[in-house]
Amino acid sequence: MEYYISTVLVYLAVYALGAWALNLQFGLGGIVNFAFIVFEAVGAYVAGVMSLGSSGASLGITYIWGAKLPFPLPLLAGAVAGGLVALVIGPATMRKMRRDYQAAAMLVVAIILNQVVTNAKGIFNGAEGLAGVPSPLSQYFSASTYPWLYVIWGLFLMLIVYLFLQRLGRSPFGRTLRAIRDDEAAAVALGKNPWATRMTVFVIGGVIGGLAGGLLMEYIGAWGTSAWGYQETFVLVVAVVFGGIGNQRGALIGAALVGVILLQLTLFLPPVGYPGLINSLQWVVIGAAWLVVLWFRPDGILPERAFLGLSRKGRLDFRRGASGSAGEMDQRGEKAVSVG
Amino acid sequence: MSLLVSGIGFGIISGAILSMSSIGFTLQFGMTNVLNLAYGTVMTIAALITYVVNISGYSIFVAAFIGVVFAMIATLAVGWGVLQPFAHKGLPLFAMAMVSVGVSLIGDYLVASITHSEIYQFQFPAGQTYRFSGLTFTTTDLVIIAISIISVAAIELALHRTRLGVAIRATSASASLARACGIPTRKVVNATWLISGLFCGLGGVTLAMSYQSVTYTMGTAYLPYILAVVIVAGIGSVGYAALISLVLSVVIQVAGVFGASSYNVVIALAVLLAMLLIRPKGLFGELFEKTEVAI
Repeated sequence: MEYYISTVLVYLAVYALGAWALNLQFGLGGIVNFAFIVFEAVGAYVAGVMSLGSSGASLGITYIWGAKLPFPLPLLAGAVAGGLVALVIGPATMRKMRRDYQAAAMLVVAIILNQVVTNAKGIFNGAEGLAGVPSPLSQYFSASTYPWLYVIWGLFLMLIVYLFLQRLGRSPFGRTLRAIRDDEAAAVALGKNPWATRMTVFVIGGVIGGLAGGLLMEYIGAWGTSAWGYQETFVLVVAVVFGGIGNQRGALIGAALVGVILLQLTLFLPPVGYPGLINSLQWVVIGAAWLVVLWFRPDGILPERAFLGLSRKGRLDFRRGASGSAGEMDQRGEKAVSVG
Repeated sequence: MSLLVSGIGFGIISGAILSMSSIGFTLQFGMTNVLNLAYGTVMTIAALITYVVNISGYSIFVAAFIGVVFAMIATLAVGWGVLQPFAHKGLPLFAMAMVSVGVSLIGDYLVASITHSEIYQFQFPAGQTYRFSGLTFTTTDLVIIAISIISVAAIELALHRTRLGVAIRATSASASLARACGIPTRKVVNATWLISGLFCGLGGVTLAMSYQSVTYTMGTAYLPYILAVVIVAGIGSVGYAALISLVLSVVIQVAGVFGASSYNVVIALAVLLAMLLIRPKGLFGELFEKTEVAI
C-alpha cells in the first residue's frame, strides 16, 4: 500500500511537470503541440539507456548509446535530449497555417515517431521497449525508504521547475511571449522576434518534458512504445485546460485530477468486469471530460486574453481578461460563424 | 518484376478502399470545414456491425449493407448530436477539431470495452482466385474494387450533374452565398452528412473485408492515410482524392513488397507532413481559405 502511495506521488510529479511544460508552450507561447508526449518519451529512453550500461549487455534487449552514468547524469541527459528533439521539430510548428492543420501535423509527428521506434528494434528495443532500468542510488537505501526518497526528489524537481516558470512568466521574456501571442504584428513592430521567442519556449518545454519522462523512467524502470501513444498528450492537454490555461497552479490541480485520480488511482480499484475494462473506460471518461471542458469553457483551449493590471500588492500582474466570445479570440484570426 | 506487379495489385485494392474512405472525409470536410477526427471511429463501428451481423448467420453482403446504414446513422449522430451544438456555441475551427478528438476517444474506447480490445476474424471465404497477367485478386478483392469504381463514378457524376450535387458544391464554396441564392443549405448539409456517412461506411466495411478482421483501433489507425490523401488533394476535391488515394496506395504497397512494409504508415505520414509544410492548401484545393464553421 505504501508503495502505491509513493508511486502515485511520483506520477503526480511527472504529470505536473508535463502539464507545466505544455502550459508554457500552449498557454503562453500559443504553440499547438500535440506531440508533447514525444519529449517525455525521449527523456525516458535516454535516461534509461544512460543508466542501463553498454549496449547488448545482459537482459537481451537492444538499444543505442548504452552507458552507465552516475546519478543524476542520466536524468539530465534525458532533459537535454528532450530539448534537442524540440529544437528539431520546433521549426515545423512555427509555420503559419490553419491551427487545426497544425494540430493534425503535430499528431502526425507523434504517430510517425512512435511507429519508427516500434518498427526499428535497434533504437530502443521496439515495442517491448527498455526494461530493468536501475533506479539511481537505490543500492544505498532499504527497499521501504527508497520510494519515499524518490518522492522527495520528484517534489524537489517540481518545486524548482515551478519557481523557474513563475519567474519566467513574470520576466520581460514572459511579457514578450504574451505580447507575441496576443498581437504578433504589434510585437514585431516593437522589435520583438516571434520566431526566436517561440523557439525558446518550445525548447524549454522540451527540456521539462524530457525531465518528466526521465523521472518516471528511473522510478518504474521500463518504457515501451505503448506508454507514449499520441493519446497520452491529451491527458496533459485536458489537465492544462481543466485547470485554466496560463495558470500554473491550475495546471497542477488539473494534473492531479486528470492524471493521478483518473489514470493512476483507478489502477488500484477492485476489478470490475473483465481485466482491462477499467483501462478502456478511463479513456472514455477522459474523452467525455474533454467534451465537458470544451462545452463549458470553449475559450479555455484558446490562448487567454490577458491585460496588464496592478495586483493588490502593486506588482504587475496578468489576469484573465473579460470573457470575450470564443470566436473573436483566435490569434490566426479564424472566426467562427455558425451557418444553417 | 513479379514483385513489382503484385505490389501494384495490392496497391489497387487498398487504393479502392482508401478512395472511398477519403471521399467521405473530404465531402464532409469541404462542406463543414471541420476536421472531423472521429471519422475513423465511425469506420470501426461500421466494420464491427458488419462483423456482428455476419457471424449471426447473415451473408456478408447483408451484413455489409447494415454496417453501411449504421455508419450513416452514426455520422448523423456525431454531426447533429455533437458537432452541431458545439459549432452553434461559436467554437472556431481548431476547437471543433478538438471536439471531434473527444468523440473519437469516447467512441474508440467504448468499442474497446465492449469488444474486450480483441481482434475478431471474419469467417466468410475470400472466394476464388483470379489472375490477370500477373495480378492476383480474390473474389472479395474484385467486389471491393467494383464497389469502389461504381461509388466513385456515381459521386463524381452526382456532384456535377444533379441538383443536389450542384447545391453541395455551391454550399461548400460559400454557405452564405448559396443560401442567398435560395439553396436550402440546412437540407444540403444534412444530405452531405448522409452521403459522407455512406462513403465512410463503405470504406470501413471494405477495409474490414480486406483485413478479414476487426479491432477497435482499426478506423483511427487508418485515419492518417485519409488525412494524407485529403490534405494532399486539397479539401473538398473528390475526384483528385480518388486519384491520389490510388497513387499513394500503389507507392506504399510497392515499397512494401520491396521490404519497407513496416514503414507503410511512416511513408504516408511523411508525404502528409511534407505537404503540410510545403503547400498546406493541397495540390488541387479551392476551399482552403474558408474560415467559417458551417454545420
